[in-house]
Amino acid sequence: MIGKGRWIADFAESFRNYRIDDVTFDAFVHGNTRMKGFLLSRVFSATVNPNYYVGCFMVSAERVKDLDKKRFAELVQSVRSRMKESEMRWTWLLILSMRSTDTVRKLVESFKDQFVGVALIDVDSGKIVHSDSYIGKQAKRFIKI
Amino acid sequence: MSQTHAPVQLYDLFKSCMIIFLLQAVIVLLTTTIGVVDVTLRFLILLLNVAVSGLLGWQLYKRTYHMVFAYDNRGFTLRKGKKEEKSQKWSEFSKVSLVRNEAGGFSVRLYHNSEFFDLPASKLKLNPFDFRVDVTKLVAVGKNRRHA
Repeated sequence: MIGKGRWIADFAESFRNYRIDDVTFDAFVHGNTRMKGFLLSRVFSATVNPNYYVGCFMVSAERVKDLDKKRFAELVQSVRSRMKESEMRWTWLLILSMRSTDTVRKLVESFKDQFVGVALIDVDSGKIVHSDSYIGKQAKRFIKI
Repeated sequence: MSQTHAPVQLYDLFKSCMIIFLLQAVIVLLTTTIGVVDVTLRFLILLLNVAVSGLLGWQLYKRTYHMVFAYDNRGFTLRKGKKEEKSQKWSEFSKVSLVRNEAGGFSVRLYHNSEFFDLPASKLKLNPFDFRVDVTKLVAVGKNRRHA
């Protein structure tokens, strides 16, 4: 991984080119929100952090060419089906793009789901557009490009 | 093109030696009145314990912990100690992931439906990121071969 970031969850397993039905994500990581560490960190984590099973899907807009409403819905549906399958508490769907269009930006901004946060990241400018939910808003706070 | 990796895992070797050393220490404590033994003799006993720990520890390590991993473009064999040996073909797997364990070591995880098998990349002193890429390619080739 290149770039900066902050601790969000203990993503212990990562996949590349992760396929769900007809959709392939460039990367998928999953783990839980309980921090690992030595004795004090564990005690602190056990008393403060909830133990949620969470995930993060990444897809480049180049992979899902001509990202329109239908394609976007397919992406979200795949994420939701994976969440349901493994009882994931919340997930981020990060769409990495070089030339994001207004249509895609509007799609992301208007997306509302309490448990799926969508963020469109322009890798050139570092600008992040996120969905209108708590999880989506957190993406802007935690992801540093 | 077959490749074999069998590095000495220093932590497991140290663990084996310590097990033998502690066993000997307990035996010495139970069988002698160490307080009345001469200092020189005590030092000799300690030296003997260290030497025996080294020899028997190495044997214990080879018998229980030492890993030998061999692979080619058809499959792999992973042997742990003298008993456990697992041979499988790449084509038996469908997904590959990289997993970090609690100690911070990495394993490449191979999925066969919901079951999985871990190849301990860090223990085998393989670069886990490069190894994951290699294994992904081998699994993809194996899958294509199965469908052909």
